[in-house]
Amino acid sequence: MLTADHFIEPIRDYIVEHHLDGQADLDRRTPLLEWGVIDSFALTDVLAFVEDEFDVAVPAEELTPENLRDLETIGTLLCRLEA
Amino acid sequence: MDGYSYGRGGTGGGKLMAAQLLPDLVAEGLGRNPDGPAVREPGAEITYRELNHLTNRLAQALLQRGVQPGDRVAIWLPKSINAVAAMQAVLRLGAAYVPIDPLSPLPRARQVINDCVPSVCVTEPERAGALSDTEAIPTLLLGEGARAFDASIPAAPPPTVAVTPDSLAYILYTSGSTGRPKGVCISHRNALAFIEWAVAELRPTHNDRLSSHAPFHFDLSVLDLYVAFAGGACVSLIPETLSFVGARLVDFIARERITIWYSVPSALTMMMDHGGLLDAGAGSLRAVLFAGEPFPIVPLRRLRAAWPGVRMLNLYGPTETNVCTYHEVVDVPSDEVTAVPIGSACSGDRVWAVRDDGGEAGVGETGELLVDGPTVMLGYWGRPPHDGPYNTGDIVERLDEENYAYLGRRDAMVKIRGHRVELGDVEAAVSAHPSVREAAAVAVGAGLETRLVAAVSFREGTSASLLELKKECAARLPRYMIVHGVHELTALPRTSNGKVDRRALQAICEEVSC
Repeated sequence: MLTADHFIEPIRDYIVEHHLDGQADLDRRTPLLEWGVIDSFALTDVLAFVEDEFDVAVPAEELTPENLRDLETIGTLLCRLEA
Repeated sequence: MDGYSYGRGGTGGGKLMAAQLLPDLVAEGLGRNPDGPAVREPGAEITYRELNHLTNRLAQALLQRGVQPGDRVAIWLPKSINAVAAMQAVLRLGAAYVPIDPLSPLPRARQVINDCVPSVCVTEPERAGALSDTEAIPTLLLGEGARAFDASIPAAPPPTVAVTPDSLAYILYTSGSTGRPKGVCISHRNALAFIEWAVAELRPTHNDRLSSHAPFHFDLSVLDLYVAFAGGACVSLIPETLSFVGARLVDFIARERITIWYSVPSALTMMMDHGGLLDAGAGSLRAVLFAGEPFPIVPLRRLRAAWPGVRMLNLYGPTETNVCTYHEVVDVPSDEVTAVPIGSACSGDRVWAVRDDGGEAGVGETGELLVDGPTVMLGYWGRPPHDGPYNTGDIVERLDEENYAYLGRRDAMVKIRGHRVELGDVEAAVSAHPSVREAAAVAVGAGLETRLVAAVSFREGTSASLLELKKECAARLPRYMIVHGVHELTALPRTSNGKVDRRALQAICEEVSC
């Protein structure tokens, strides 16, 4: 049984490297959409990484602002999809 | 009033639309297609009859909360059937709706909500808590499954109110150059002049499915909703989080059997580059419309060649005038290197270009585009009414007697995926961070890849991360004005007279972004 942590760290590292100039001050509760860390455009890139890295398909109806709010909610979503 | 009949495309009398006011359009859809779908969202659909009832119930609920003709009502909801019905309910009461970006962080949402002084805010339970901290704005709460909210409230239409075509119908907040949110005030007449033109051009019927790609606080959404209503067609809502996910959008077009698509060109190029749009075929599509930014010529040529049976229309107009010119893309010559023209006047407007010396530009000359006519806004909220033609700030070339081509801006405004970005506002927001000594913003890259970069010099011994500066922007600006990158400099480049050297800055930032 995978935990949210399994997903969160690799996604965090990916976002920091590709969307935050490598600066590591992103925590699990940082609002990703509200602060424009991933805008609707960058979402395509992050989603491609997630689906590729974890071999999971995220259905369109799960791509809600609630599920994408922060790393914690993304981790919870992916746990649910894997289960 | 020379009003709402059609001059063009007439087949011998008979108006296509009898509407005098914006809320009449749902009634027209109801008359044409009562039990057909009016609005779809992921996992849900509502017929015209149901939409009419829901709208009446919401109007009754707003009435109970004291909404009067002439009031403003903020709509702070996710893009949903509920949000559509709430907007229509506000109009039925003779009030004006103000869509608030549902993804904006609280400080920014509050700034806009407070600016328009609404009598009620329609929102969700989880947002209302945040709002009640400081403001005493009454709320109407629509949560999950709110369409069941009907039970206790009658679906009778609200009392008729005295509203004229020149009354305020909605306010769209856009980037202002002063740091304060700028609300563009649109009347029923303004909106209907554009919708009538679009209806005459597209002839929507109950067999049509329109995409709703743009968020409701963005003016492209006006066509999606109201052209669908006018024809008794269905409008299919695309959640904002999906709006640039290429493959999902391509699936959406096929699954929803979209017949009329309207978006910024970036969404189309995203679907072509990352979603296999051209391989998927045109499906049910019969018209593709785009606006908000120039469509890069190379992908447009591919799209035009791939789908010969689909009409393609390039629409142009700032929020202040809605769509005032259009150009139908029939052919993209293989030797053409510049963007297609913005075309000629529509929506009953008159457009012309004024040279730097004040004279009207002749054929082959360039100047600033001016717009006059029924779509020109009432004015900005809280400021004196607008009077006369609207100066767009866009530099155009006059191609022939009536056609124009867009060349660029006369000020520091740039477009990022169709959204207006005032660089001065971005600079002010970034400079609000205590570590920032001075900052200048530039847009680097082109088309889909455009990024907003802040060149920053920090106070001695201090610094700030990109995330911190994003947070600073998010509290003060619309989300599309949040910087994508920061480039640190010991000092900003200056020209000999001491101004920030924007050309040098652009070159520096383009280089580091490559």
